[in-house]
Amino acid sequence: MQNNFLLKLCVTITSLSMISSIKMLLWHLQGHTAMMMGALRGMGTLWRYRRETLDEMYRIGAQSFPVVLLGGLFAGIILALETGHRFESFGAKTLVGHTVALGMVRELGAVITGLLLAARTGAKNVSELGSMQLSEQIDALRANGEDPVRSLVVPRMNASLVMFLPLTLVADISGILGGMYVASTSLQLDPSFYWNSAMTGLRIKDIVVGFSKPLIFGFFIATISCYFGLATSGGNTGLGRSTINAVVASSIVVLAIDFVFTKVVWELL
Amino acid sequence: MLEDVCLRIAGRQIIDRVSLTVKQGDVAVFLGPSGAGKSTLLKIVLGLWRPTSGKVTIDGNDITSLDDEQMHDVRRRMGVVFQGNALFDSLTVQQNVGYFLQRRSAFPKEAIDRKVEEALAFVHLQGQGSLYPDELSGGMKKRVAIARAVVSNPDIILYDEPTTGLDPINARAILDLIRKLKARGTTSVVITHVLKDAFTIGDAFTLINEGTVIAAGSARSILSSQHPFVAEFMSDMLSQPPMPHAFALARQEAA
Repeated sequence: MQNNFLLKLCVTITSLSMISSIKMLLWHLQGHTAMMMGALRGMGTLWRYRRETLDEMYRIGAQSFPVVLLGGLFAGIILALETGHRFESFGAKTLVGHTVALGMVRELGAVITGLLLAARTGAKNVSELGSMQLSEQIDALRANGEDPVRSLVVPRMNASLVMFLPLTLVADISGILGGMYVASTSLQLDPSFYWNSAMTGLRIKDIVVGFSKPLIFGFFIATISCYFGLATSGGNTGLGRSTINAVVASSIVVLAIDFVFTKVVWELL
Repeated sequence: MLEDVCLRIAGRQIIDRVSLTVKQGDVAVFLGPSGAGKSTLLKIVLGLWRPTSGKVTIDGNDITSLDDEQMHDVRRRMGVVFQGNALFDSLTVQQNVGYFLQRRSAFPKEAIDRKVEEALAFVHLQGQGSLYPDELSGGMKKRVAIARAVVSNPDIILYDEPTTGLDPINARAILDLIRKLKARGTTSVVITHVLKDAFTIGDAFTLINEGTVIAAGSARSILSSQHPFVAEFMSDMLSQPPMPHAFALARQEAA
């Protein structure tokens, strides 16, 4: 009897908590969509906010370069190590170049760049806009006739759209070169064999797929983090919560979009 | 002018049927304890929050039905001094003061620089334009915020707790600036819970508690109010001499 009651209580609490989470998710989705539409409408203000856009491009692009370089390098090294020894066991170690290049260009380069930038750029955006929100700077902008979406979100979004592509290229190249280092030192594979296998294995379709993803990742990472920044409330605790939410949501969106993109492309192309 | 303004957020009544009128050129003071809804009223006047019901009119024009784009034009006639100053950390004092003038692109750079210098001179901060907000004291930050509010010569300036947290000398300097602006014909709306400051500069007073107007009018009518909250809120003021001249005079008249 008592066990039955406890079970019912647990089910009720779980249901209520799930309903509350779903309501919160829908609330955020609505807010994000509205802000995203505002940002898309404001894309024409690129020239007006060119200085802010260039600043953001420097912060997102140049300052993220070392992180993305290292991320790509290690991904390539690990991929070459994992696959190389398997291939070696049945005498196909020349395929390492092909596998690393394909893996980096089609998937890992874009995803690793997306995840690293979701953390780095996402946290930067949400903490900057969140502290502006808490210190009434956003209110000051609105009170003086400035639309914060146009002046703060659009430059960050445009900068992400421009810079995610070259950063993904950096991750791809560093990953392929990292793989080449492992192939030559650990697998005793001549670098020219590796390089030849890597380059011949790549098709135009792979490059198109690999370099389309960063644009979508950049757009969503920028808008999600800016949305959480502008929606910050509740002091420093609230800012911490917003930062966590933004990074988690951006990372999950990166992986989800990657899955959808890969599936759709495989089915269509 | 506010007419029967109500604001309800998440089932909570934040503002309840507030009606009040601010005369052109007056210094209108919204008094009340923390959490009474004073800053919320200011944000409603600015159009940052839309009232659930009621009407806000400025010079006879209803601003409650305006969209964001139309509201921008109304807001350009107003200056705001926020409680936390809301200065942009990454910009210098000069850039902060000239930021919105530059954004509106209505003036050439030389004219903006001249206006910024004039505004900084008005708040006695000449030559401090190259400093960053981090390098300023609380009083200086407040004066920069006032300079930013006055630089575009607005008709109305809204102040949210302008003297809270300042030492008496800096607080007096801020009150002097508000008086100087009144002399220029600027309408001021001051939100404060500091009674001494309120009665030093105010022409008209509105006492707010829990989102409703408890008493409104001149200093005299506030003091003659029989509402128990008025007596409770004013008790410190009544027992602490010396009193500001206007307050003493009003008290004498009320008696």
